[in-house]
Amino acid sequence: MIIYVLQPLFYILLLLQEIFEVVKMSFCIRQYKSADKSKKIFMNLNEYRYISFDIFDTLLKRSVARPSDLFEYMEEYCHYNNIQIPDKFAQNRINAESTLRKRNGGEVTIDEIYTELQSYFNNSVYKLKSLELSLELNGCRANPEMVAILSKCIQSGKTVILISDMYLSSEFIMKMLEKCSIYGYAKIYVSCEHGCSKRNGDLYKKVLTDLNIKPNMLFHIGDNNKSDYSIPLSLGIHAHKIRSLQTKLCKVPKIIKGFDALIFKTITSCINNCIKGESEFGKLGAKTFGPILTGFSIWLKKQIEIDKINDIYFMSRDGYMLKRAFDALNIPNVKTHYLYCSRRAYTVPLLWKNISFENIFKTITFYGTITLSLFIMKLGMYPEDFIKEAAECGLDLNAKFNVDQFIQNYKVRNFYEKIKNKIIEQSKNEYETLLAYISSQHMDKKIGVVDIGYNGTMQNALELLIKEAKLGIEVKGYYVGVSPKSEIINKKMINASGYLYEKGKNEQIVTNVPSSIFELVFLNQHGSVKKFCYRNGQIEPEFYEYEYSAESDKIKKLIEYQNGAIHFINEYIGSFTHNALSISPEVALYNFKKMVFSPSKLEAEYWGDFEFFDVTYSVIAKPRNMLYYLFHFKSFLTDFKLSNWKIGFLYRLLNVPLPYSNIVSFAQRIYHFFNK
Amino acid sequence: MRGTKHMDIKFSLLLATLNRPEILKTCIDALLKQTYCNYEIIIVDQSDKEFCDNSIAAIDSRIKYIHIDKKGLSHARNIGLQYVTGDYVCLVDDDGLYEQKYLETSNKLIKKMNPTVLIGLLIDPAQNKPASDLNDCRIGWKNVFNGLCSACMIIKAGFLKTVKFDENFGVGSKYGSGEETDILLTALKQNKIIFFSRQIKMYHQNPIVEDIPIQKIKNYAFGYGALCKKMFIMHSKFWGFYYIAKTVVGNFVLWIMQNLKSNKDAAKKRKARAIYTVKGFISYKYK
Repeated sequence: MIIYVLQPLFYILLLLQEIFEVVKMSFCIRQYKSADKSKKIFMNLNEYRYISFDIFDTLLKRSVARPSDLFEYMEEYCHYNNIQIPDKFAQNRINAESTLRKRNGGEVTIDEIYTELQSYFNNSVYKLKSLELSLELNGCRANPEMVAILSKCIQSGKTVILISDMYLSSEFIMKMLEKCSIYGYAKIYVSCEHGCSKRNGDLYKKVLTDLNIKPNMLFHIGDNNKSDYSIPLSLGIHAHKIRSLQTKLCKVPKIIKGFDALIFKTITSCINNCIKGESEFGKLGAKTFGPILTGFSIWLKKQIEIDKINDIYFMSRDGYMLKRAFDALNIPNVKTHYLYCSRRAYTVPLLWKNISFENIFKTITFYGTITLSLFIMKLGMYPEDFIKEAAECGLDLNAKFNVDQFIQNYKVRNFYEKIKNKIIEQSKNEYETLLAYISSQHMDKKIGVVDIGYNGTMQNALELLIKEAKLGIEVKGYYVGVSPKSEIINKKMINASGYLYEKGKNEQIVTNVPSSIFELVFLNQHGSVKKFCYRNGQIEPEFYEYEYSAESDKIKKLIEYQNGAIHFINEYIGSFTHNALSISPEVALYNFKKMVFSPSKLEAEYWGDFEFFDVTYSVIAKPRNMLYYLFHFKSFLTDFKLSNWKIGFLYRLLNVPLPYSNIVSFAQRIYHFFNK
Repeated sequence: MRGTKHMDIKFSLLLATLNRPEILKTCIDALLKQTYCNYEIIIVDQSDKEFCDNSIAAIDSRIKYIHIDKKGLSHARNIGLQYVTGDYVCLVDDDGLYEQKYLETSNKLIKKMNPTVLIGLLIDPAQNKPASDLNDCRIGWKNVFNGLCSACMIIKAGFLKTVKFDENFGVGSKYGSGEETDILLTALKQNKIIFFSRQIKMYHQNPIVEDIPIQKIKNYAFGYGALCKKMFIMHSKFWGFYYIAKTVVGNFVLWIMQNLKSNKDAAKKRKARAIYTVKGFISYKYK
């Protein structure tokens, strides 16, 4: 009987797998075809002597998804920079333009719009006109694909005309084009200056009359279905419509509301502007990691302004990307440094000060399961040196305990007493060199330390060292997130705040986000700091061996991913937004969460193959094959439990896109129900 | 440009044959009795040398005879297309029996409908059973696999000049069937008119699955699976998925039912059809 079920099931699964491969492949074919598009457009242009281009969203891109979004930015910008702006400015600015268009029966200029707008308010709004123009100018970007076609046209001796339906003057548009290095066109036609538009076809007629050519001698390229495609075609002008991104850019997930929606659209727009020419992982980095780094950097900039801190230390290794991101903001008078540290390198040197067994657990954080080997390693020593002592106490180095069991175990206490002197000796040796390293940094009297975060252990250790060395430095910690359960922070032993989450703020925002992947993306390409030592008279860090080979494909892709994120920051800060607008944690994390909660096959395979260290080294999400688990269900449960990214684990196992996020949270609920 | 509305249409009857000289002669004799006279017969012979017979061309001035060495139905048809001078190409099977008014009726229908592809009804002479239950209608994605056969297809020559037969499909190639449906799918993708009419009839063997030898079933299924994949990639994902799912699941269900009836032979054929459809789907690689 079972054969009637298994055999069809096997073939149907084979078929489904192939269908998904085909869907993926046809998607690649579509992408390849679209990549080849610009070549095709230029081939079509060969027969024409006169080419016209639309300007906005064709040659130039803006940082805003919709033109009217700019007015909302203006409101925020003014509030942030204490510039007076009337209430409901954005809405009134839109109304003024549409009223004027109705009244004048067509085209309007920006001067006319602001004269109309003035009648709505008591205070002068003319200053806001120059603000709008400066934001327009700052926020515009060249569309490289179209600019390449334009340059080819100019090189091959064609006459290039630019045509736009716009309220801005041609003089100002020329400034925008100049900013984006677009030159060589013959003339610009702007609707507001000629009193006729592309939308009704009159502007095209004007162009044809001026050039004294027949309609079929002109080829027009633009993004609007009506004014750039159907209208010119109806006039006998050849036209090509490029894909408009408006609809795509304006899509905002339901959970992002209000002003965040506007920021989300800007982020999408910036991602779209900066991913051209990036590798697959560069694109992914810009999309998923870029907003987090940018959001954090803008938040940090605001925090240090409030706290009046000008000396920032980014803690190794996770602070590496945070430093690169923050440096991209180019903030004057703020010094940034990369401070070598690790939990091991900063906590072990302080152990001799209070060597009680209980204090060890207050100073060093242990999670979930613990082994004697891990305990020894966290104390800065090698487990293999203590095999004899462990055997004398009747302990196995690799036996697993939970933390409470471990603390209460009398055998462990006996063992600890036996090795205590060695711990003191080791700790004192490292204390001197660490102190020398800290002193060599010449820190300001008030510094900020930056790290990915969680418990604040390293900041605590650093502050204790500073206190010991009597350096009199005030330290403030800035973290991507701080654990709401961190005793060090909750008891106010250190002064620290988190961007994404902290106690009382977004505590659930990273629930189920695999910490392994989240930490991995911040990683610098060197091993963890072991301790400090003198080399040629200089104090230098000594590293553990780097977990990954720097030459490996995985690390090369990780570097591409990180570089993609930095490209995003440059794109985002190139727009006007960073001066005014923070990225809320929900918006910053949205794309990253989307990646880890519903990954693509490529993402699941890439992140899943990395190793991470918890109690022992294990792979993030790398299941064996389904057939093996069918006969070894227990090992499926063990592997699934050990996997740090359960969604990725299931995806890689089943190879079919399903709502794994829901499946995993359902499984977790069942597990907790039975383990109550 | 050749008009189709006011002038008489010239048909090019494209006939590919392999090692069946007797059947071929009978077929040609029948074709020459057509009531409509404006046509040419292009014979593409893939036979081995001893069967090769140039004298066929001497029977009638309207016959063109081409001999090729490479085997494969689609390849032979593509070669034959190079010699086509007519407005419409009739795909002819050498073992088919065509009604005398086949071309006359087709001419009338083409003048009326101006389709890109006109398809007639195939009837199995042994059982006097039509292969399709469709009435006169336009063919779309929904009914493109509904008993339509290349032996009674008439295709605009202009269309066939832009779209060749895929040489991966058809008798004698890797996937032993599906060449005609491939052409229909391309026409559908290009929004061309495909019209089916019961008024055009031809007679050809069309046994039910249970009567077909298992090796032939495997060949057909293999080609069908590959064609579904091509449909999936090139034309319509939804219909590609629909047809492959329908065939695989349907035949597995029939396999179980035939087994329950203890009809071992029929069960084996149903299972082979399901499995070889999947195999064909997996083995087809898009270049």
